[in-house]
Amino acid sequence: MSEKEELVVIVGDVNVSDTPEVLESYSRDESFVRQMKPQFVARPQNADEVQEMVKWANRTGTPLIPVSSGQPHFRGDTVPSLGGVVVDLSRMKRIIRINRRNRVAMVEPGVTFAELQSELKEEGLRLPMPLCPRSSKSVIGSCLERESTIIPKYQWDISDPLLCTEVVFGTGDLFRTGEAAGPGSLEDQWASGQAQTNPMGPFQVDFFRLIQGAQGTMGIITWATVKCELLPRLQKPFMVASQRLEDLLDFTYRLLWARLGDELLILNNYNLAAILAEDPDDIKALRDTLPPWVLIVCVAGYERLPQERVEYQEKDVMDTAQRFGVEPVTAIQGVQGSNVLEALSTVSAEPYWKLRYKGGCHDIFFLTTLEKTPEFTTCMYQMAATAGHPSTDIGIYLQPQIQGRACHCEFNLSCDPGNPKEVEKVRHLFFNASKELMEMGGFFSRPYGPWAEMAYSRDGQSAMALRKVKGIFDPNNVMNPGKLCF
Amino acid sequence: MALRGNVYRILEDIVGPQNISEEPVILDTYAFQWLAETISGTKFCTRPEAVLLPGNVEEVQAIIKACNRYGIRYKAFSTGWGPWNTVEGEGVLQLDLRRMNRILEIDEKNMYAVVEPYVIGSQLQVEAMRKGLNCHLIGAGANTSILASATSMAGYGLTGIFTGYSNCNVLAVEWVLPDGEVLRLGSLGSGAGWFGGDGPGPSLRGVMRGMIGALGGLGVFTKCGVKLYPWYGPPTTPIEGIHPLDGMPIPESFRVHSLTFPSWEALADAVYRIGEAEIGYVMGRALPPGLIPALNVGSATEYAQMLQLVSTEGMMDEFKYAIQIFLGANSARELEYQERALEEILSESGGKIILMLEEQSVKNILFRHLIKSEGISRVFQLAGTFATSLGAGTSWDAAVASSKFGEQLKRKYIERGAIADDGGDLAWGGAYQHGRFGHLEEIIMYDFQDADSLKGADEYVEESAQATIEKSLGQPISIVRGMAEHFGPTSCDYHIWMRRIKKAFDPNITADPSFYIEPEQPPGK
Amino acid sequence: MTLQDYRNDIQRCSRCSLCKWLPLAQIKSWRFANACPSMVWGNFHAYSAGGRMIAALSLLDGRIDYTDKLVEIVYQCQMGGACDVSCKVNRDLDPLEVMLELRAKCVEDGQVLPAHMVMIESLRSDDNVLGELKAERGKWAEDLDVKDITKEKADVLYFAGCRYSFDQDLWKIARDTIALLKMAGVDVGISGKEEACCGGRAFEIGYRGEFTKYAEHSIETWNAADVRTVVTSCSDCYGAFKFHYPRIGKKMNFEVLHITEYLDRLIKEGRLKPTKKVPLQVTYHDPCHLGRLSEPYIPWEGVERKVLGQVVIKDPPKEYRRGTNGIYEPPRDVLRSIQGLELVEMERIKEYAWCCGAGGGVMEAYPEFAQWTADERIEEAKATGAEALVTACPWCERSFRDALEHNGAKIKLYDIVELLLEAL
Repeated sequence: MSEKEELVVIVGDVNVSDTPEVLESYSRDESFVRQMKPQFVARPQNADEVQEMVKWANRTGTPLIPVSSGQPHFRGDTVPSLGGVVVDLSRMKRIIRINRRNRVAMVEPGVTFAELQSELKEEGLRLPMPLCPRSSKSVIGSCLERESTIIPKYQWDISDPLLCTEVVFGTGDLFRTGEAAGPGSLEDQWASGQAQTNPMGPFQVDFFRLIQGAQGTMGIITWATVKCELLPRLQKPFMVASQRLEDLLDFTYRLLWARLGDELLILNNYNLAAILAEDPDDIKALRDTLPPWVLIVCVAGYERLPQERVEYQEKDVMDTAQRFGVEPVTAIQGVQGSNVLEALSTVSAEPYWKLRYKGGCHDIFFLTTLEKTPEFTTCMYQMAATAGHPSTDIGIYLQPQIQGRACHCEFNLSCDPGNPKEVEKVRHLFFNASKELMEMGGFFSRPYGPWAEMAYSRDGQSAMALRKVKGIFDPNNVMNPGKLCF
Repeated sequence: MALRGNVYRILEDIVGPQNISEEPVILDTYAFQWLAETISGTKFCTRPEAVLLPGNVEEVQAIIKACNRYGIRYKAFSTGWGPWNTVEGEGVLQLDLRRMNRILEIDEKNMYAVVEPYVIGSQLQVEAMRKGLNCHLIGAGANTSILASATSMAGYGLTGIFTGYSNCNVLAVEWVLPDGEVLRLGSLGSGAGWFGGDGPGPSLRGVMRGMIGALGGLGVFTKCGVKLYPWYGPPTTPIEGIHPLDGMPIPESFRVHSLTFPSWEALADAVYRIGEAEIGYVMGRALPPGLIPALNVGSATEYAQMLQLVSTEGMMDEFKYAIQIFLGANSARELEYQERALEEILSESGGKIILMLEEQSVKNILFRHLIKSEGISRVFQLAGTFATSLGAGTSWDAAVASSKFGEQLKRKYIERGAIADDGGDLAWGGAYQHGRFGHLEEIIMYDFQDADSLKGADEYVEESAQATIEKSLGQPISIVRGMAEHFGPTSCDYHIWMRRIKKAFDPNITADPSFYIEPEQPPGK
Repeated sequence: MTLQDYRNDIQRCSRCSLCKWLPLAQIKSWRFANACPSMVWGNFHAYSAGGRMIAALSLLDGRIDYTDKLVEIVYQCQMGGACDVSCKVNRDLDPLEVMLELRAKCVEDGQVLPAHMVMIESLRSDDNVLGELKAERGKWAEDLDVKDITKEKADVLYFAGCRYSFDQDLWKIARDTIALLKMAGVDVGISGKEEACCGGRAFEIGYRGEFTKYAEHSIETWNAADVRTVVTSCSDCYGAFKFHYPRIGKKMNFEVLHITEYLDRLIKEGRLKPTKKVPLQVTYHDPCHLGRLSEPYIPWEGVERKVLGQVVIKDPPKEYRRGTNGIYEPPRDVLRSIQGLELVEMERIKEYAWCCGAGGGVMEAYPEFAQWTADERIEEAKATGAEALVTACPWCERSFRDALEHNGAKIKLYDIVELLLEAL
């Protein structure tokens, strides 16, 4: 049998593609990662098929590139480095279980935020999201990438909201992480009251942490549970405008300390305009009217005394603001807080907000602590100026994480993909700035594409340790080879 | 078997002659342990070959490299409480990390601290409180190492509803791997500071520990960052009164209550609602019914008298489905909200405040016990020792289910006279991270010096562990050698993966595997 | 109770290490969280109370034999008893008693320290532990106009103790004490060169025979002389009278007061009126023997019994010494009575106080360790910002003086008596 025939046996005829258009579409993304076509794209429907594919890959030495989200992709992690078969998980779309009592949902990798949120809403739940994810973004994909979410107070661990998983390791073994491992089947566990809410373990290893952040290099998730939150009954968003980023930080720190507000993030004028406006002209116009920095904080009431909760939180936010000399308002330059909240609470409208301005966007993001973000911002602006990239076209998104212990710092470099000169300019800026920001102490914890080499050359011991892990879970290096330090 | 002369000298050169010993008297103080009798039949486990007191990461690294070179096993501990700290087999070195005892940093804004292994919970807590912060203290007591709990052991504590679980509180870590190389987890490895323990790429925290840590089986942790949490009380916490009636005055920003419910189900409902309402600074069964009489007594004798008194006067029913809750708030408004929310929850679930525990002096004692995490060693006081069972980290409903079972099982052993008659329900634990998961472990108190009692306790622990398999109650909290071998086959064969990790990270098997996993499958398994 | 009698208790040690720390709720800082000097100095677990209990068990069970190291572990401890207080927060154990019994066993088995033998030889030949001539004992008071109780009766016997009797640097304090008593109109007498050691130190270092001899001597002499009140300004002696004397079962027909208790009484009765201002910020060091080690001995004889299945109780119920009944307020009240003087507290006070370093035969056998222990206390005193460290024990005074001389720390040192006299 040919390779294709073998794949067809596993996933069925219609679920294996090798048409040039399809292969072409998986050969590249919006990033600067080198293009390469896969040999096939296969779309398994369940764990058995995934497991068969991984076993087949081991037998044949074929690389597998797992892909959960729909296009467009941005980070190069779904572009084959060495050819192979793309395992497109978008058919695995079951929402297996939503358990209101334990505020947990069990989903397959093809489930997008939009799909899950609407189901959760019916149960009175929601899932903390990244900043306006694109409509095609897989929930599990986002969780596995350790994307920051916009509600830092619910992020007890950087791994949140990912909980338990079912995974086919690179060896072809099926495994369940966290309490889902056992004893007992899922049904047995449900019967005893368990709901796969504890991601840790089993026992002395946190297996899920080894799959998360791995860009598909350790195995393929076939379902995961995610930590959901109550759907607010009432929400009241506030914004604080500032000419200087520094002036927002102490206030932000205090909100984090006091656990005030749910959504809590800082955007620069470009990014706030980008998530709100519908077309490039509107973005430009809005950007130019907005203050350079806006802190967004939203207080909410849930099922329990919602009005009272909103009231006390609002008053506490205002008291805190007064103490730090800032002024939370419900509208800035005609932008209503409610509109901002709506944008934050839903997936991005099409086109995806990062692409709306110029059609292309390259993100530089890393972790740091909030008080250091002004230094990074200054550096980014300086480097952009040197590169001749207009600083007004740089989006900045600062997201406190892990309840305030760290901060996701993201620079979005918009560019017109149809303008090769501009692309080249941005490419240079992207590489140089990434390097510089890393030198300054930006922690590129999710090292996509070219960052991997930079990041692991700074931390050789981690690379060596990860290779040992890789040798255990994917000894034949069939899982997305060429990524990270593998 | 003594260390070969040259090896001793090499180790002595590393730590200095005053920091190494192979004196039998010193070695025995490391072999003696709580629960040792369950391993060796006596109070002593295996004597280590020598004890070393390294003073910094370089010394730890040099020791481990020497161990790899000469094929010597080692096990490190921080505060060293519990049988998992002991070594197994001949010729194993014990590394006592107590000379590494500094708080290196408290980052007030970003709410984390960086500590060395021998910083105990109380030390970090008082320093953090000065800055409006607090740390997660485990229920075992604030006399335990913050680092050990974060990197190497478990991590349940009664402020967990507000301060999480040790596994989730660890940030960057300095880790001397079993081969002697130093791995700096997360942001630290990239020279970015201590704020994160994950990446670049997959998080090696996953290798470092799971629900439970590697218990010395995967090298030595020499520094770590840990999350701190807001503290809404004053910067210092004076204690008033004479022990055992000494209490901590309750700040205005806190409320302290013991609650009781008509049934386990009602209690479970209430805990879910408390979690959802995001109220509570302390919440859980800090004092299950059998321990409430121990709150303000000075001895086992007084406890027995008190227990008999409350039993005969029917007060135990009042304590039956009890939990403790402290509300703590950033503002008077928030506190009022929390109080109103609690009131509603009580009304919905048929719960009530236990009035006889509302007396201010009693509440002050309770506040001291739980904020300072200093009361649990009481469970040694009554019968001589204790053991624990069940207690998987799971959803609260499952935790309650395991408690119901545990109580039932315990009664059999109480009736047999094998364990202390504490009424049966000594389910200790809470719900963590605003109730996202919980645990209730069933404690038994017994007299290890009484052969029947010891035998009964062993049987109870085994029977309860077996039941977790049969009833799908999650992996129990009791830590014994060979645990992975026993439970792995019931849980996706995780022991096989652990073994691979052990071999990959410790090719010479120098880190004592006895409480992690043996490198080779034991015959017959 | 012998060491063997404590075997069950010893086995119940859980190795929790609480004996190394202040009771957890009493910890106020990282810096001053430790309770046990020996553990911080020795570092191996064996140097803790729990470690010594384990060593005792090992010895009883024949797992180990005597070695120099074992003997060092046993004796490198001031026996200040902070461990005992911490342990008893939640346990029914008596680690200090075990350590005392372990020392007694060592002596019984001939495992003694040369430095301690010197003390005992001196005791045997000259009734003091300092290697001084008995004939010199009363010299401190030679020119004082004070009754000799061996010749005439007095209401109060002032007991100077070995340290005040022979340490010339400290004579002034003893003399000031007599001056104060006389100012208050107290009919006071001393025993002069006929005074003998209280025997407390002998007890602490394990020499039970010597202790009994001196305890019997003191009790019999004072009972025979119809002494009603014994006042001592040595906390060590005071601790011996309160904590150790009752062990020999001889009735004491006299009241024993520490000078701070007595002065407090005299001030409250209006017999001493501190009117002069002493503008000074001070911090007070609780001597172990005046604090937790002065809590009276509580004899117990009984058996262990089981109730509630496996709950082990003592029958009859055993009352535990927790250090709470030491002498803490009288010295503070004396200080508070002095106008202009401000008392600021250290972190480790009262029953949780850190030791001065001198006790338990450590000053004689391990002077470096004694001095380090004192240094630690001086650091703690300095951390309060106080100008002066005040104590109420000649052994503490000696230890601090030596340390200050050595480390050059800038803090004044007073006995409480000196300050009171200044205020009168």
